[in-house]
Amino acid sequence: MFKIQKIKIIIVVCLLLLSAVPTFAAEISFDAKTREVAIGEQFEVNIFLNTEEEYINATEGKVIFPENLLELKEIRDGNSIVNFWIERPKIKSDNQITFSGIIPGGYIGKKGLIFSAIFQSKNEGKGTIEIREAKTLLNDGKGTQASLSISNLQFLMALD
Amino acid sequence: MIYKRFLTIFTGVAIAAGILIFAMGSNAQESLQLQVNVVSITVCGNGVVESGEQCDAGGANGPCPATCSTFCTTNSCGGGGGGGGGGSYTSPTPQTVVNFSGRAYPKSTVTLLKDAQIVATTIAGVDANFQMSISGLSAGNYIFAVYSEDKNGNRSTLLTFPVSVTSGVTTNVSGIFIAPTIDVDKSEVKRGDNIAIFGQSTPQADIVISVSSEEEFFAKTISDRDGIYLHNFDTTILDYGVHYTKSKASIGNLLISSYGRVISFKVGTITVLKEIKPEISKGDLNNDNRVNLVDFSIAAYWYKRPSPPSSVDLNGDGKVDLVDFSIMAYYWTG
Repeated sequence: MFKIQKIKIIIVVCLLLLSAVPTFAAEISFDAKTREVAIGEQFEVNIFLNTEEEYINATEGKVIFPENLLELKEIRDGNSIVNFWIERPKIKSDNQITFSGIIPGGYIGKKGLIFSAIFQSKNEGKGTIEIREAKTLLNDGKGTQASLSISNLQFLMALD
Repeated sequence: MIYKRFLTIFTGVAIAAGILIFAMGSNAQESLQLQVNVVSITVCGNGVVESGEQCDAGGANGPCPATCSTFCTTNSCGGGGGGGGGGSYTSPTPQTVVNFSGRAYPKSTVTLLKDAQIVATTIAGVDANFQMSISGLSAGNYIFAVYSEDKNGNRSTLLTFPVSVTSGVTTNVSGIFIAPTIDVDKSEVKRGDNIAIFGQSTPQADIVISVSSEEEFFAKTISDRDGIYLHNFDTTILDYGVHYTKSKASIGNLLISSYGRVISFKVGTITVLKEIKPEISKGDLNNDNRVNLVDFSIAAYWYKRPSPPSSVDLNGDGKVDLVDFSIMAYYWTG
């Protein structure tokens, strides 16, 4: 009889500080939860912006994921803090989501949703969902780049 | 089928952290710039009596015979009377309402944006207080923003606040304090002469004016009963070159606005008067005196395209990228 293979996804947050000279650094991160899903099952990863003490009015970046382990099924941008997308989050190659947008007047908050990605697990293995070439700009009328830290997601999928 | 037991505990958190270097200003007077406007957000209908509410019975809020209204004020249901009968009473569906209140400038127009689109305007009273309401919203997260215009047509910065709206409850956003407007009477001032720095805020507010270049200087004044403030700044202490100024307001120690718009002037060898007229907003690409979706659309067309017009390339670096959109977002009017 066929038994459902369960894989456990352990997620570890990796912090990467992109820029120095901050008093406070904004942060782009994923919601980090340990999940248990079956192979072929879908799960949601949210990408958040924590602005710390600054008003941020523009953000852009790329989300890179291992295509051998994960398949992107859907991108959701409802309830996003981004009011206008310059580049709506979309898959640009097999393993890359690009996004770029603005928040007129700026956003300040600890957990502003940028967008969500729905992935389907494919195989066992270790991988990272990364954010690259990310920028957040201050709402200062000059487009000054804010100090930014990135929390990537490391995960390990193994049969339980 | 062979199962592998999952044993590994993932402990390797790779941290590549930069060194935080705290950027401290050089001027001792920096202690003046401590706080920013604190906006209070309360929810009528959550069963908790919060600031500004007389009561909150949660889902039992409503018209008489409920003792607490849907606006969290005590109902005056009267008494006595009798008789009557029959019929059935259907409690009305509670409305989803968001109330906004705060201070702008006396008799100024206050504009409210929801997710960067204008949803309401009102006129502030002679005391600069304003309030407005919107209803019929769906539950969800919104970014609201307000701005105002002074008597010279100069706009304030946008003051934004994310609000989570719950269906059937009234959310009160109070304590909004719009930052002062600011202008100067000279585009270039001969070093040693005074430059007038002025604008509008609430009446009788303490105004802190910051003038900065390499070093930051502060000055204080008080707005008059019309909210107008003026300070003649002696430029003797400034070096030759471009300087920036901004202002913020406070009332007692209770309400403090954030800093408003930053404007520049030059200290040189001659004095050039500046025409007093509303500043044309960067980002107003179609010259309709607004910065909104139309301008965004124009800029989006030129995004990463070669040789954009100078009117669209807001920072003049020869390309239209995220920086130009950030500048536009700062000057946004809806």
